[in-house]
Amino acid sequence: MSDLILEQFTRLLDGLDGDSPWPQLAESGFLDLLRSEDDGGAALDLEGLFPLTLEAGRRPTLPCVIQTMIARLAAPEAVDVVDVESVLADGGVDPAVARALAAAATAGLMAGALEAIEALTLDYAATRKQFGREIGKFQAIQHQIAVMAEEVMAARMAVQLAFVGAPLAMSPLRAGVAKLRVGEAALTVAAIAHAVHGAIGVSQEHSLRHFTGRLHEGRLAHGGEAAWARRLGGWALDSDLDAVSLARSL
Amino acid sequence: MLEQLKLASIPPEDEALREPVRAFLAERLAGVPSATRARSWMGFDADFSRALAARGWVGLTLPPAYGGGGRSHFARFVLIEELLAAGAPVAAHWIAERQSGPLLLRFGTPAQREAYVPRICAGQAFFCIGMSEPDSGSDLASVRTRAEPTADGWLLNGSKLWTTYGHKADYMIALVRTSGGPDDRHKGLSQLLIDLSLPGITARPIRDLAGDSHFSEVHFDNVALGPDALVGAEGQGWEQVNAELAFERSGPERIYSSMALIDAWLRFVRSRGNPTAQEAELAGRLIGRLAVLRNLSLSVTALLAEGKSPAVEASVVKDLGTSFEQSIPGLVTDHLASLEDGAIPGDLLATLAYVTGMGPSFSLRGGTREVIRGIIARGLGLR
Repeated sequence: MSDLILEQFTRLLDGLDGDSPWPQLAESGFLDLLRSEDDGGAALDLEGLFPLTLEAGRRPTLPCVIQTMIARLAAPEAVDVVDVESVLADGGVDPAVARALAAAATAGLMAGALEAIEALTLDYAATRKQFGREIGKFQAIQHQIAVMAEEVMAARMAVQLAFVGAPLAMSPLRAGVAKLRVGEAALTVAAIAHAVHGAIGVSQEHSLRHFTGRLHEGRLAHGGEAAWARRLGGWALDSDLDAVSLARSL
Repeated sequence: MLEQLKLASIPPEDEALREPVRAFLAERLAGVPSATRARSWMGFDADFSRALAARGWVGLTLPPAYGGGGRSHFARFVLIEELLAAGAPVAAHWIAERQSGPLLLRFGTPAQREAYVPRICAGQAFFCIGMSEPDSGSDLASVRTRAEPTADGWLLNGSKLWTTYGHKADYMIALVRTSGGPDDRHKGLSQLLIDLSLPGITARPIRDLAGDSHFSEVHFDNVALGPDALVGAEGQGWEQVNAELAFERSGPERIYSSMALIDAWLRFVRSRGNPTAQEAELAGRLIGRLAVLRNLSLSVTALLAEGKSPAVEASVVKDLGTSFEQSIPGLVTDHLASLEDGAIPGDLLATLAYVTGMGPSFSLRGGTREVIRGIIARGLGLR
């Protein structure tokens, strides 16, 4: 079931009219997927939204499909939603939940961008030659890319942890873990990706800039690492649990 | 690209193990200071290991036919998580149950399994692993300790160095050369099971920088071993060792080495009241990172439970986990050094001193960071 939805979603994104995507998106039914069946949706849960969010994030440029899908939980006619947090809050959703959902969605899109960056970087390291061999053959490059892969894996897991259950029941603490950990990974991964790509990575024509640019924008949106860490830490310090029990209860 | 790890959860029947283990540890470790708990899997306490074995908690995943618990990887995750979170002294039985028992079950003869595995599960046979030597650290293929075949077994000569609790263990499983020379690299290496009470063996503890003696040097001077000392096939030691290492890299022990320090710090900050924004941020970053690591480790456990061998993913968990463990003393020091008032408890400072000093070893044991990143790079197709 979820594989089928992802396949259809991927095909839809592949065939979008770049200048005017919204009529096509609205007609596809995807924008209402999270809404209840009574409202013409499919009541898709966050586990179902997770692969779609990553897929959207893996694309260099894309309309705000995921944000709009979430916004429609509170604003049924919404299209082209950039700031899903304010649309949800204006539509009557608890502001804490609105912020958590927006933060988690941003983290999910960033995790997709991280995966795309890893693929671009692996490809570049395997093809670009210097000193007579592919740069990926140099241990200094290998170890940097290994760190990148670790961070991408951690970021993806952090997002999975948040994408559990019904969207409007999003746990702000889990959303906070996702935004915090993905933001930390974003800084490391963007720096390594640009270091490996060299000058072409900062050129207008190369797609890397779309992804790393989105990571940096994402860190600024809906609460950054420090803000979410303070929220999580306030909860941890209010409790009397040990560290492992705290991590386990998230 | 690596395997996409899926969020995994612990089945209720395995989760049910947590409460009895916690209750046992709360009673058994009552009053143990944080600085002692910080030793955890470097802490050797044979009585503790036997008390654990009496409850069936040593060899939990090993087959009941050999005295094990026959439980799942998830049950073991719960047990290990609680032992390490509490900072229990598990070193005495740790290597035997985690590595030697599984190794013997996989590569040993029926007689070897019968002879050792039930005693491992009873906490009656403690093992160490002889890998490093004076001139062989990460480059294990260069080991020079040699066993020559004789009419009735093997004659062993050489030295092992940095062997964890070699001076307290009953047996060693050592990687030694049984044929060929250094130029043959990985070929000609074998694993031998050595009774450390035999004549010709001297084991001397080495003090670490914290003043403990957790590691040792072990010398073999014309030690006569029987033919049954060989574990697995002659010349296959390298392959056997690698199968063993892949298995042990992703567990909670690669994440939880600094838990005693985080807990002591959390208690201190709570005792001061009205946490500052800086304190809340640090607590949040630590718990957030820990939650993600725990779930990564759990999802690798799920792959193991499915019978897969996620060696590269396990290496990812190890590098991330040990980097996290190692970051904690520096972060806690930054915070404590920023305070302008109030006394810092002695136990917190002693815990901090221990973890700060021994922290560098967290990424050395079980394969150095450089070796691990090389394994990940190979998994990514870069080498």
